[in-house]
Amino acid sequence: MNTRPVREQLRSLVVVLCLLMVVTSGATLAGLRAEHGIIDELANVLGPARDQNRFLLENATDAQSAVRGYLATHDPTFLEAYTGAEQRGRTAERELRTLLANTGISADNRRDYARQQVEQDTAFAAWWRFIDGAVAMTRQGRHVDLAISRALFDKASANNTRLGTGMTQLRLALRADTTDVLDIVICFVAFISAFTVVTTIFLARRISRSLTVPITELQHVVRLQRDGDTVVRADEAHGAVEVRDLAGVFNVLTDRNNELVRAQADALRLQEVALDVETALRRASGVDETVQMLCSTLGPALNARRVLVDTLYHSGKIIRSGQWHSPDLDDLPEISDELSVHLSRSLDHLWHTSGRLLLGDLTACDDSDQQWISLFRRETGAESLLMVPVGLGARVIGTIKVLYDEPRDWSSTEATTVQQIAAFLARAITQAESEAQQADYVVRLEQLDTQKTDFLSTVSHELRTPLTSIIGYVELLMDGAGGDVNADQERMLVVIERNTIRLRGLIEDLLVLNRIESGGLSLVTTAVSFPELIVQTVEELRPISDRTDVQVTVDIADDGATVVGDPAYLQRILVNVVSNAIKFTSTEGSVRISCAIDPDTDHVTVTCQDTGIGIPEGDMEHLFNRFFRASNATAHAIPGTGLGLAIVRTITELHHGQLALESIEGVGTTVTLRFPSAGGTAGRPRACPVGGADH
Amino acid sequence: MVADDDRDIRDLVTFKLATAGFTVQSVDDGVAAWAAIEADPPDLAVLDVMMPGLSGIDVMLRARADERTRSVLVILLTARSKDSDIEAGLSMGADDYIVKPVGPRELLRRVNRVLALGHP
Repeated sequence: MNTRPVREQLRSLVVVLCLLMVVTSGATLAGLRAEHGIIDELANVLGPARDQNRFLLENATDAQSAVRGYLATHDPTFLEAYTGAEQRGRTAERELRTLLANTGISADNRRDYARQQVEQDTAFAAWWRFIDGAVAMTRQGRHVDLAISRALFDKASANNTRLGTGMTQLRLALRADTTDVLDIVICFVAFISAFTVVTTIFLARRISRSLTVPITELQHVVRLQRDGDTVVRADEAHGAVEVRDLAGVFNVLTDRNNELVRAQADALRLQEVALDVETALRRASGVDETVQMLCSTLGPALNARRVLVDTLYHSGKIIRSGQWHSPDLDDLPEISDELSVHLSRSLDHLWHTSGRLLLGDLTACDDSDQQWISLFRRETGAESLLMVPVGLGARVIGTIKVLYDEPRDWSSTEATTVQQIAAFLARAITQAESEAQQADYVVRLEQLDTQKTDFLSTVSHELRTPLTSIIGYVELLMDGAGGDVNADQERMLVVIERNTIRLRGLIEDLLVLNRIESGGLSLVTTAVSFPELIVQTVEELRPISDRTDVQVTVDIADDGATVVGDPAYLQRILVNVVSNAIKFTSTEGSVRISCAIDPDTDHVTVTCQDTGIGIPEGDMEHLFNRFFRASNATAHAIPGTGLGLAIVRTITELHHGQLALESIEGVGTTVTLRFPSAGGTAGRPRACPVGGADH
Repeated sequence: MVADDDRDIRDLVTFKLATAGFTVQSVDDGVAAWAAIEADPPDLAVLDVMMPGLSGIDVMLRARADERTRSVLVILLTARSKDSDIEAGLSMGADDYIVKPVGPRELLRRVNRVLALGHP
């Protein structure tokens, strides 16, 4: 196969074709030129010469006839004819001479013609002289021997015929030459054309083979590679230079592409490694397990011999927190103090610059600024190191080191992966520390809560005991157990009793709230009839309503209004709500408690409506805050702890109920409680006034 | 019998029950209470729960474990007001459980009720 450049081959083809064309044209032109010369000689020289030669003979013959007539008759008419013929004959002689001297005739022929013409001229000159003499002699009356004239004429005529024959032969020869030249030119042109065609086909085939065959092979290789064959390569040994160059460049591109694909696959694998490590770190509990998990995941993934994770303390001391190694290696001992000092200095710089250190060949590192490297080699036996600091903010908290016991090149992707894992580790450590702090915080909070609960429990117990004595002895005194009590003393005892009851209520409320908050409140649930509970509560509170002369009315719409709940706590709600209503309603006011089932929502609704002092609008939003008391309540010196509504709301919510409160200052307050019904809505409505003015 | 380490309450209960016509013996700790019950089983014992030595519940359990004292009626009188405490006290054999503070009238009412009902 031709391996010359295509350009050179095409140039050769063009040059050859041009040469052949020039040769063909030259040969054609030469043939035409030769043909032209022959035709020119035939047309311009030989033809006219033969005509003049023949014309000469004809005039000479005419002159001979005229002379003979004159000699026989002495008629001057013949003499005139003779004179005319002689002149035309001599003119023809001159023309012939001129023509035969033409340079268009070949030199040999010209010499030959010149000689024959001289002979003819001489013969005719002798005849012309004899005729002229004969004419003169005849005029003089002298006899002229015509036999001489005939002999001279015959000689001249013979010369004329010879010359004419020679020219005729030459013309025939020239005509033959014309045919020969034309044949030669045709043959030559035909040969050259055939040669050109053959040469062109030959060269075109060579060029085609040097181009199309290797390009087709290259195309095949490209298709194979497209279909996934990464081994096949283009042929760089055959074909034109350009095609071989193209194949070479293609192979280079293929190699680069394969490298890129390998690098990409490597990067993907390492990305998966990073994700695996992150997943493993999320599963780990505590810093130690996190570090060990990291080492054992990262080492095999990077085909490393060792992975070390060290912790850097504020003092500059570095402690080994975790390590992994190939099964054939042993654990490394703790890092030496000397290496620890040197390394800690480098780490800070590393963290604030590139964030990684790739040392493919530790033996080649003779930098005196990095003395730790030789120490590191001695302590670990590593020949190659990839080190990434683990940092939190501006602080370095440790390092991840990947070791190999032979020199090797660390790829940027590997370094980036380890950096990414270092970031995961930092985050995991932060999270673990945060979780530990949070757990500690929760434990401390729980301890504090327990202490608070215990404290409240203890305090309430300690308060209950003296309170029992106070209540008991006041009651004894009021019962007259200590003797008669006068009116002033009784009024004083009533004040003591009222405040004792208030104090007891405060202790009870505090304990209930404390139990709810500490989760110690256990509800004993059962079906509770709200109508019964309401009547019972109103009866219990009757002494108070009687004392303040407040009319309490109960309106039960559904006897079967039952809910599932703890009767003790539900009663506490009712006691708090109804006692509040009585407490804040002035003498001769009224409190109306109603109970019904809402058929739409199947909820039991309990409403307590009073005509009391109401609640200022600005206080409404704070009503459920602990120890908050409405401003008009404190202004009227109405006793209370400020815990009642908070307890009511909390217990209501524990029973999946809702509490609503509407109030207009000076008009009254309506408290609405709603609880999911336990079912059983039969019953007739009834209005049942109890207590108050009726009692 | 009344057992309470707080003298004021002990005296108060003793006074109220005595004036109501009961014969009352009072002691100031659990050990003395058990000794008194063991020596001469009363009809009813009002026991403070938190007492030095033996608690009211310990005394009650001993009484319930002894054939001779099993029939003694027991009212636990205590400042522990949690539902679980009340349930525990009643389930271990108390005939009533009174949470301090309590007035003498209420106490007397409860004593009379327990005596009237006897053992469940």
